[in-house]
Amino acid sequence: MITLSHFLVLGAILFSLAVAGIFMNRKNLIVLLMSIELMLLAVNINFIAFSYYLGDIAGQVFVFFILTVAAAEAAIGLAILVVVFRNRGTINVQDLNEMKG
Amino acid sequence: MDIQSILIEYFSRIPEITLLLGACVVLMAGVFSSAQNSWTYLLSQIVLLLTIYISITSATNSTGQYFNGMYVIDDLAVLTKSAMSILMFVVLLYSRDFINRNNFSAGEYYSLALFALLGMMLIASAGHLLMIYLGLELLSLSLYALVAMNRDDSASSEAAIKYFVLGAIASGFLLYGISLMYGLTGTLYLPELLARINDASGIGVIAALIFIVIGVAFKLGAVPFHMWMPDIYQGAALPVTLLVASVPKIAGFMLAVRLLVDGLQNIHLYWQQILMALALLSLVAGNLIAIAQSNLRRMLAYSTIGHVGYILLGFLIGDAAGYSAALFYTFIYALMSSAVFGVLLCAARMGLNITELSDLQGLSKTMPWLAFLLLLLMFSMAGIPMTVGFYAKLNILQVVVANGQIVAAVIAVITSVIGAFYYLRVIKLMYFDEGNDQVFADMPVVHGSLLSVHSLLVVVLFLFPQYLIGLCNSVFS
Repeated sequence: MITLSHFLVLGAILFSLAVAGIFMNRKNLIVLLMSIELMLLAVNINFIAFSYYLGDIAGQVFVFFILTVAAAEAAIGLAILVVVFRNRGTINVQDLNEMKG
Repeated sequence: MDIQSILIEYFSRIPEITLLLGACVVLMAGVFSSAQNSWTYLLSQIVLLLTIYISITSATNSTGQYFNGMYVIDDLAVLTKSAMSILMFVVLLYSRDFINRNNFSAGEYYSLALFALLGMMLIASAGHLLMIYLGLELLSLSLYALVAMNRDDSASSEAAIKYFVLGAIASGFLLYGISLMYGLTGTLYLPELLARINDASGIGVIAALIFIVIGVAFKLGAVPFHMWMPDIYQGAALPVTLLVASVPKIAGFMLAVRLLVDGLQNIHLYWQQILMALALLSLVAGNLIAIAQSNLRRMLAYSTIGHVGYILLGFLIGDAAGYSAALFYTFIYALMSSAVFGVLLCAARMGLNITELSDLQGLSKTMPWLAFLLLLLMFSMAGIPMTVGFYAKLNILQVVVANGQIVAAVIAVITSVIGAFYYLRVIKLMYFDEGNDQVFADMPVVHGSLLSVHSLLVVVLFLFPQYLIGLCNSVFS
């Protein structure tokens, strides 16, 4: 029997993976964008599980909005990534150190 | 009632509708007109004037709930929305010349600024967690694009990618907190949330609260979630920095009010402790690191972090007096910050690009009036009497002391004395150091006179602060 807590644990694991991916990744900016997407999907799992077990539809509606916003966010993120690559010729995270202090 | 009169009623009550349509028109006008055309500028200023008018008039007859309670107009929303749209009007006026001279795409800048304002106004009027999220994302996505607008500049694109990644993490944390709150209470409406969350004994409420507070702290730029701020201030184009440094601060305050006060006031004792740590860290770290900066804009970013510490200190007290002191401080901070960047834009227009602190040397000889205005603003930011920054700090400290948080008040005073050092250093550079005697263009008339009025407001508001303080008090009582 799959209960609510199974879904919550899955969501929490995915969320932690995403956060770990963002903070431990020292190489590639695209991996960062993937981690951000994973973070939002973990939230979606939470919302849908709660929505199902509460018998309340609002959580599922929220998920549609999150999916839409995530698409817009990915578009802007990739656009900025292209701008960075044009200016620097690299998308290595460690090379983003022009400004410090 | 027929459909026409319903439409007219919504238009006259909800300023966001006009703003949204106006922003779309400006976007299209930008596509079909050349970059230097002033059509988009005039259109967006007309849209803003309409928005200001509707926002202010909605105070008298439109308060209440709309769209099943998702959208709320109350006195607080009216006040902050009017302030945000007036400030945006001033920001666009300061930015115009820089945009034209540097071949930025005007239509994109103005329409993104209007969409950002729309997001901020939605946050200010939110009655539902979905509205808060959507408003926040509309604001953030517009700002990411604005920061990246200077696309041939390597520093600006680096600032944009950093802002994007950290902003997305903040949204993720906030959303995770919201999803947990939804699971615990089964509602997304803020008044319902307030009614259903009465104590934070369970581990779930604490976890949800921590995620939400982290999200809010990221957006406000409180230490240790401030990393994006100095890079944006330094890397983005000057008009974008002006925009980021002024209006969104009011929106950040409203985000905190809607989430933590409207939704979670009953567990105020729990978020108070987290915010206290963030506020003290921001005060100490912001003011200390600012001393070490040689870049003026980076220094202003760290000083902003110090000011955020003050705002949080008033906010976390958790009663009407604390909220109104924090709101007053936010207004004054947005006023001062936009004026400082207005001075930098004016100097850039007259032919002097100020980036490093050393660029300020001898400014009192070459541009005496601008130097005087900057002097007033620096005094005000440091909180020296004869400027309104003093009242802003005094209000916060009064509330904090009245609540018995003596240690926090002492730390706040000590850090603002430390902060006075780098503000006064700016004045010393302008008035007592020798620079080279370049000749610059005359001060532009419209920009210069508005800037003068704007900066002199810090003295006028010191002499007559009662009106604004009264407004801030009345919206929270």
